Amino acid sequence: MLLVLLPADVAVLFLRPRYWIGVWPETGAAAQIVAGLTIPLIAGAAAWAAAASSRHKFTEQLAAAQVGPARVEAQRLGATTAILLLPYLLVHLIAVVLTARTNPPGLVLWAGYFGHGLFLSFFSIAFGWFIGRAYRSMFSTVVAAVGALFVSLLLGQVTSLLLTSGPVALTVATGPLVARLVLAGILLVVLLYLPGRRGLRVAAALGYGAGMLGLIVILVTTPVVMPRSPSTSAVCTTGERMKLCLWPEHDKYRPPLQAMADRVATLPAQFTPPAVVNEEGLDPSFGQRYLHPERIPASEPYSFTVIEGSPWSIAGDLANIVLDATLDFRGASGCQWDGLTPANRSQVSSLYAWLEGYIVGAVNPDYHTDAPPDMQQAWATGRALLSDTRQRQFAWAQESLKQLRGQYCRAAS
Amino acid sequence: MFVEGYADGGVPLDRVIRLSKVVGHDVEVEVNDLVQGYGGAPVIRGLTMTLRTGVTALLGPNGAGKSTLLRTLATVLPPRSGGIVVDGVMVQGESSARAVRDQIGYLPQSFGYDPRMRLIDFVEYAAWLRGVPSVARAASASAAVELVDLTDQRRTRMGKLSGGMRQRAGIAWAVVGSPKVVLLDEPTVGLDPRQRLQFRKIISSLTDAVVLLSTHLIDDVSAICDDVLVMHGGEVKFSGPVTGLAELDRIDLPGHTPLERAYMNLLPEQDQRL
Repeated sequence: MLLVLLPADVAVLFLRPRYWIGVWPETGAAAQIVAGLTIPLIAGAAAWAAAASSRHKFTEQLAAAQVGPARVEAQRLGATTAILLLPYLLVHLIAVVLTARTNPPGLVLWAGYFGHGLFLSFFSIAFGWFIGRAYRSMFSTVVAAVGALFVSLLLGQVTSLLLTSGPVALTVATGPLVARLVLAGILLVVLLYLPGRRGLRVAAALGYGAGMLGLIVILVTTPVVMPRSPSTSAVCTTGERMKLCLWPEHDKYRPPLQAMADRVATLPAQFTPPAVVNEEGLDPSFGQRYLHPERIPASEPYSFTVIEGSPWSIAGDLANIVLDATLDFRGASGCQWDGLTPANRSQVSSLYAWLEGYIVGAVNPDYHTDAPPDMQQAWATGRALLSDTRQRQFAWAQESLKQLRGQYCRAAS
Repeated sequence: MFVEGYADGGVPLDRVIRLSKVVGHDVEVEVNDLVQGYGGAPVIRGLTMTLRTGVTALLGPNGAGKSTLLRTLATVLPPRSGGIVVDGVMVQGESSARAVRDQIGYLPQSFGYDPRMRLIDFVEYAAWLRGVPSVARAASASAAVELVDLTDQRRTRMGKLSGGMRQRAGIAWAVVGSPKVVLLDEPTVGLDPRQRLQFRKIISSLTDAVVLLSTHLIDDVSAICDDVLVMHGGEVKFSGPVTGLAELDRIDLPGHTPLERAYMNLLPEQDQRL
């Protein structure tokens, strides 16, 4: 099993985008993903190991052992757990070494994701071991793997069982994580008593069922990921027209962000970007909005996100923010955009696409989209201008702004 | 040596398990009015016997109760009624059973092994299960492997051993840690003549233990056993020295040796003819 898990886990870490290097929470999340993706493998392997004593016809010899059945089981379960955890630990070690080289802040944020992956591993082992013990056949492996896949997908729909990213604005909450680890640990301990005398076996099986139920309740009712308190040591760009601030853990993005702020500073005067834009989560109201998304505020503060390290994700957000502020999409200064015509909508889309490319300093985006064809055409129109001289680009942009404001901001203008 | 054994109803039966102390290095296993079975009619009916240091054969046809007796003596099965005393310890419940298991080496007829395990690891695992202290475990395992003359195969995986070697590995499993009681259920099944001779040599070297050896093979009885217990239908038909069994020879019965004919003499009349 190690021959399968080790390369598989390392492949999962490195075949995905490596933006996580240098950011502790993203490092933790990236390394932790292997535990989620290998749930069926680990459960199947645990079932195989659990059924080994029956498969190898050891039960009679174990019944005659001076060492008690719980201790025999502990030795087997312990050895299985250690082996199945090895690949996970190795992946984290590799990820930690790679990130630690740049000595970024936020090591404790990595620990939460590491712990969550441990929980997923313990859960998978407990699930598979029970199946292997209860259904002592060579098919228990398949039953455990398929069952674990089904359960994890089902739970993943309604809980935060599977964490696929480590946004810097969020953290793995200690209380819910500890509750998960404790319950998974209880399940593993209860499993030690399954091979005992009949009365003990029944009690252990019932205990296991109760523990699993309790764990599901915890998973459903207690989110493991919570918003962080805004950092008091945000790192910001310097700029005359717009200051951009990042979480300190994202300090590695400050250079490209500074370049973007500098390009915003060169925009024509008709563009009116906000003075300060924070990365998502640095605003004090973020926590409440995250926890209560149903309560939509009248207007949210401007913020940008860094998605998988992509500069285009930042530039896209900044383009929206600059246009929103410049064209007063929120209507704070009297502009009315309710009657936006299709032609003007295309014009806005072209402006957005051009502005996005201008801010990032490139022409071809690093993402694909399923936007409607007319929107994609409008974007293409805007991006095509990026190859032109700056003078012509600005002239086009200024003319577009003038037309749009003239039509929808008459009261303001 | 074997003291005495009784067919059902022969002697007033002490249904309470008693303690008998070991005399010198001799070991005793007492069975008192044992009734044993698996849910229906009993497989063993009121068996009483005492085993002492030496090799005793347990002879009988299939279904006689030999394996059941061995499993009960190994404390794998709690008796339905009656009792067992092993080396002076009354076996009454799981905790007392566990207390004597370090003194009992048991090899089932069809014993299990992980084919990927090396022989030495297999035997060392047995030592751990028997409660041999960790400081002595490796040495005990090596001694057991040496006893069965498999030292040069110690690093061979169990799945790669021949049938005869694997059987000897099973004996090593049973004798590791020098238990005082060794219970072997048909250990020579499937062995060729040379392997059986090797097996006899090994068993003959276990001079300090109570060895109860279940077998179908009369030749093994005469070659290595001091005493013999013949079972049929859950009852003891004969218990005593091998020479005593031979005295029950009847020339008119089927068989090529006195022991074979004596064995046939102990069977019900309808089973005495072929």
